[in-house]
Amino acid sequence: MASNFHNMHRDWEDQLPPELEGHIVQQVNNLSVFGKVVELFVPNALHTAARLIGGDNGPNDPAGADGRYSVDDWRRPPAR
Amino acid sequence: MVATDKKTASPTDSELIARYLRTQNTHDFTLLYRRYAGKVYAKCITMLSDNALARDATQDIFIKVLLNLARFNEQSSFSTWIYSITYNYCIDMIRKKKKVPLIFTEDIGRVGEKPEVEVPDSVLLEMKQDRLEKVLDRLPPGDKAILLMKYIDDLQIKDIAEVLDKSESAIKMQIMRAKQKAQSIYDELYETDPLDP
Repeated sequence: MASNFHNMHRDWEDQLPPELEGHIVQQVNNLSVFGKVVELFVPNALHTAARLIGGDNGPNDPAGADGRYSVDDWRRPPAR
Repeated sequence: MVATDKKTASPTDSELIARYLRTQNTHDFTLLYRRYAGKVYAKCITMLSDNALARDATQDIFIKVLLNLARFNEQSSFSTWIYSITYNYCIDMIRKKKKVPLIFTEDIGRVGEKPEVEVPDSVLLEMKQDRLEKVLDRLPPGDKAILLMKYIDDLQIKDIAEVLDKSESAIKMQIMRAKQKAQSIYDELYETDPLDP
């Protein structure tokens, strides 16, 4: 048998505003889009920032892990 | 066959969460919302005694649930987890907005001191619904939360302790104090008509 507590709770449950679902679904969608944008652009932005401060020249750069170029690279003049 | 159909028709909370985390499909979260929104809203209204605040709180709680869904580790059921977010959110909101100095009837840390009389459950369970609402309205928010967890959510002492981050003995004591406080409020409000519960 339902107690007075349960009856009271059920009465309040029935008063849930129906428009709330729409608001929440909209926020969930917004967050999802924001998450996808972050996932897509942030790694590239970080990579660009790293390149700008000289931390990483990208996978196609002929420099080694220490940032020096190979002496065999004919495109670069030898160091003086 | 019937069992399979039933399973297809209504996936469990854990299945919905796993599916949402995997696919980010809004529909899965909407199903979770439909399952719990009413209960969360009812708790918010009982705790905050204000429809507009309860509506905003319900919205904030579901966004909080969404953002923390990946952290849900299934040590407790999803319902216990979401109710714990709800109660703690409401208690924090009351602290901030209403500036209520007293969250529990007495300091929850005073475990050693027993209340003089233990009020039987029947005193609360046999109150008329409108009277019960008025009594709950006058209780400190922590006491109200503890009584809702015990009598509506049917949570065990250890679950209530986990939700409020207190020891089990402190919670037992707090339940006794909350019931005693509820009875004294009831006596105060209805002393002219005490025989009609």
